[in-house]
Amino acid sequence: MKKSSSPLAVRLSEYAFYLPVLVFFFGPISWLLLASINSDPSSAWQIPVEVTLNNYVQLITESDLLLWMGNSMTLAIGTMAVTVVLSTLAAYPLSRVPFPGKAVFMYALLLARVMPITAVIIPIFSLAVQLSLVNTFAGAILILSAMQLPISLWIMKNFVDSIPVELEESAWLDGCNRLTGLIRIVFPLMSPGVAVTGLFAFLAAWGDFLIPLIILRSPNTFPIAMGLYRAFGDQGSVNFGFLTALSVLYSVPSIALYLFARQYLVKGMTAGGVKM
Amino acid sequence: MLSINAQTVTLFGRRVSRRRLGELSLLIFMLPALILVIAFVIVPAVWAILISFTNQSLLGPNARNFSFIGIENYLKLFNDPGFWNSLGTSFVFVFGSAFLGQFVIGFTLALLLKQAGVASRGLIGGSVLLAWVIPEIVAVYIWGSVLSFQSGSANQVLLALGMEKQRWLIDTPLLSIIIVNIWRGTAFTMLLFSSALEAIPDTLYDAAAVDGASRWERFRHITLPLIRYTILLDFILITMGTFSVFGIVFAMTGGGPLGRSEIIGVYIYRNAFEYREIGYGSAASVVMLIINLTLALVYLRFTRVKWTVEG
Repeated sequence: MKKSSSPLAVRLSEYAFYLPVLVFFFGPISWLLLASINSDPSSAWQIPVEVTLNNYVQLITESDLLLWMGNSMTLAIGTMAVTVVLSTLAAYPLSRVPFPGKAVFMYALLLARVMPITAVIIPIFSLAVQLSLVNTFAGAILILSAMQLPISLWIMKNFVDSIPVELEESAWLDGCNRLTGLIRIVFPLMSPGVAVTGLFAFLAAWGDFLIPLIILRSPNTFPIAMGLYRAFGDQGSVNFGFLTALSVLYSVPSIALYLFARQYLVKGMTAGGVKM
Repeated sequence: MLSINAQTVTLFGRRVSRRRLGELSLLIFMLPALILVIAFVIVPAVWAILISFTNQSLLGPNARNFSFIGIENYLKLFNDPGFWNSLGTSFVFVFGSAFLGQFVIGFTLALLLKQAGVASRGLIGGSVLLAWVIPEIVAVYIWGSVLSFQSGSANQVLLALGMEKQRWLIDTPLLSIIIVNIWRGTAFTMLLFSSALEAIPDTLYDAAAVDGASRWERFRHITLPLIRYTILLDFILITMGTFSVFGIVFAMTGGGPLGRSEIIGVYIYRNAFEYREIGYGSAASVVMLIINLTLALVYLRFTRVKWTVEG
């Protein structure tokens, strides 16, 4: 029940908190949006005198946008596919089959999940060199998937845990064996889990910076993150129209997918034995 | 009825143990995921420890023909003021952006927005969330512009308030990356507490209100005890998360000027990939791993407690 009877002073102090919060959080994003449609953009926050879509047009005609987009898509979809397939396969035995050391294994996955990637980036690079994976999408996809798997395995295991075992048992009585029961009964019920882990994997790979930085070094393998970084990282004078339009286009898929997955966000954040 | 998935049936009869055998054969499905995690997570962690005892370099003669040099890298590391500086910087970065920033703002927002109307919820909550979901490098460029000396909007605000323009990334680099990371990460804490608060039944508050409990008393005696666990969980998760932040700092300040914003991740990267001393950089990695492992063990201990409490 909402308390609409809060004293005026309390409500005013709430708004006094909201306003700076709104300016702080939305201000920078509003600059990005406004500058991207400004015919004369700069680092200053300003309402465009002349609104234009030229920055976006220029991006498509004069830059490697399509190449970068394609590379980012390859990375994100590849990582999503590998993560989903591997974690779907592993989730069923993880949930249903008791084996020695299982609890330790699940804890180890949690440890792997919280390992700072910068701490292992040197051996990952050396490994990629040994396996000739530098400048290959396969290399970047495998590494990104491996980073994503610990959390995906947890989420998927939790999904299978929530499927009643009685459903399977009745399928077995009807003549299914364990494997056909798995395929006909369990896999279809796992589809929400597949959606969540797939979405998270896609987003993680789409927005990642460090793995492309060390693995995808040749310009024709640059995803958008690297295109942005290399194009503007070392330059003194910045083409703000270009920068902002590219940033907006790069952000749109992330924002859209997060809105879509909003209800699962907290589940993904705390997967690992934590019930909210 | 036959109980099929319980461990207890394995001891009786051939038919049942064959079922157990079939069951165990399902474990083969775990193999591909296992191989990938071992190859790119476990092996690198062990590898980092091994090469931290060598003089391996990224290029040149020592790239292939490196040798074991004992704990020399660690001695050099602990004698390098730059390393201690990076640890100190990391500590200030985590404390400032995670505790003073993300926790305080995120928690307050979750509390306020719970009772707020749809408009404030969408507008405020949405903005905070937006900062979190955009790609890291986009956040870097947005803030690079906001903090730019010439005409950035941070200085526009200062001028409007009658203050002097600041050279943010040069004079106050650590403060700048802390502000950016607060902006970027507050959503996590907000979401975590929003969902924890959502789970508290309204009837508890209504009953307390009938008994004449003030707003503060309701918060102190109902809300706080019920979210104690979430507070601790949030502390640990944002500490580990902030400790691992790399892209924002690397791309915004590169750790400079003069190492004043060099967190440990940037220190590792620079030593390994710019100075090309892989062995030495790995020694720093191992220290970082140990710190995070310690935090993670606290986290694990803590989830186990929760498990036994909740059954």
